[in-house]
Amino acid sequence: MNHGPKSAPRGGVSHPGASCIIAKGNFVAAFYIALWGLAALLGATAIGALVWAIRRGEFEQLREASMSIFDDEEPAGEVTDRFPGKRI
Amino acid sequence: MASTAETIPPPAPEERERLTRIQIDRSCRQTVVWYYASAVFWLLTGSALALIASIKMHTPEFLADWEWLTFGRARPAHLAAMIYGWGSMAGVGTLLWLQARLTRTRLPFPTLLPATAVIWNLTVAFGVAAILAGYSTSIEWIEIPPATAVLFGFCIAVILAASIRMFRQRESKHTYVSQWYLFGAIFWFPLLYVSAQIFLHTPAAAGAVKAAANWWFAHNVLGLWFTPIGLATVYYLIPKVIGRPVHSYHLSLLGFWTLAIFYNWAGTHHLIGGPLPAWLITVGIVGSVMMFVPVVTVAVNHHLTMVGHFHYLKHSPTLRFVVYGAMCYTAVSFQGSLQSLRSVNEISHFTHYTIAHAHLGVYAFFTMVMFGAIYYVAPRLLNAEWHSAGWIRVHFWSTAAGMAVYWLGLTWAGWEQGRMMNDPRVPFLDIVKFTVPWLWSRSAAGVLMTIGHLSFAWLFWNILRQRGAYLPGPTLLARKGEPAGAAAGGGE
Repeated sequence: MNHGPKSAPRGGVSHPGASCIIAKGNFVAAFYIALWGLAALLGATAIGALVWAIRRGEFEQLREASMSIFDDEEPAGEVTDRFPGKRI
Repeated sequence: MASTAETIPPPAPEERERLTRIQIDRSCRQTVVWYYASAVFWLLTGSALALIASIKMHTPEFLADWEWLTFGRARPAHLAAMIYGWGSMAGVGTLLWLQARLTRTRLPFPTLLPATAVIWNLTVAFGVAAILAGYSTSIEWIEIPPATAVLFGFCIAVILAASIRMFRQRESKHTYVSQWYLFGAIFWFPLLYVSAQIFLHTPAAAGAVKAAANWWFAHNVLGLWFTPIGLATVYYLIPKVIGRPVHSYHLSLLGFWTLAIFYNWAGTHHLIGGPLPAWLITVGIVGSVMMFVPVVTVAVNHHLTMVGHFHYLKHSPTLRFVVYGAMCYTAVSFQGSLQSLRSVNEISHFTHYTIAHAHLGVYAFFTMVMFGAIYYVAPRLLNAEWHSAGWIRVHFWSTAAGMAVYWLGLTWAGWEQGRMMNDPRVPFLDIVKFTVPWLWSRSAAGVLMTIGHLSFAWLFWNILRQRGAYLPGPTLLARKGEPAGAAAGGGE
């Protein structure tokens, strides 16, 4: 079998079924666009979320935010878990 | 004075709050209990596979006649059962309940969401069976067939839709830090899983690049799926249990955003010394070391929140598991950042040291936090108490001690193994023989941990069976000073 450079798949990548992908270079290019596009999209959404948070004042009312998990039923200062059958 | 036109006064604010909490918890019952029960099932299955794999390492003739249990299949099956079965399902259950609580809305999709639990179970079962039948993809952490991406993708899409719906209907002006972590997890995981399956099973990532894709995926399952769910749980449960807000909310936000920036770069630290461009690996190392920032932030914050309240560890099962988990998060992250340095990695790579480290993360941190979450959530969903404090103690001490034995044994063995492997004068077989007693210690640790899991399963089975009719009144356990059950009955 001749595996010299001329007969190797373009791009040097060997994968079963690669020979049936016509215009393989286009596929690779498309993949990189998709990959960098996805990465950019993820980064952009993260930055967008951060900006959204800042504009909503999430970074200003820190005390209220930390107290938001308490309410009248389970107020701050009350312990809410213990071993069954035991008192605190 | 109410006017004569009003015959029924509106409920007092306190009453309205309490009713809402009951309704919130009740709306979660079907879905979350399905996810938790499934998770416990996979915990036991994964433990069995773990013991089999562990024993085979030092006693290869164990069950050697059963080819479907050969180490090369049992170990990846253990991974799949634990990662996609136990870990992810306990994580999803906790994620959904936390979001319902944080947004103070009902859990939506009362038919579709429990259905996702069934689909998820079938998918994991299919994956584990495929591995045991010999169809493992041999790609670590993602040995299950690529077709699972469609099924998991569907389930996650429904869960994401539920999360968005609850968030948009939220009552509170504030978005608590746990909500940030949970959104991160539920948004990142499907992108991660689906794109990894595409990279790994198409010509997109072939040859050495496949390894980079593999470890980008595997590390991000830890960093962008399990860790955020774990931290969200700790940030909610520690303050909730001790009744005290997080010490510095500012720090908690800093911790989240730095995690979001740094964690996902770390994947190539698994490939140090491998045939990839040095810059790609260095990027992974830098990301790993930068993780000191969010990790120290979180550690300081949790510690200062707990300071003065450590005595509650005697009283609260949830707190025990969650604080153990949170401390191990700090420990494993420190270890991980150090391990990513080339000089350390030179010794630790390809040894049992890495396995000890991995379990410090997924078990000592994530699993223990999930245990804590289930101890808190299940009574509130099932209107029943855990039936035995004794079995809870057995669960805690066996798993805590088992994990300690596991980590100490394999860390020591792995480090020595690594040093000896770097020494060309030491014959390889001598190194193998050296590790054998330590592998026995790992099996012993595994037995201890499994005893803990069996106790937990027994406890869970019993609390499931105590499910009765819907009970009005607070879903809380008894108040301070009252015995259990006093507040749960008799409707208020």
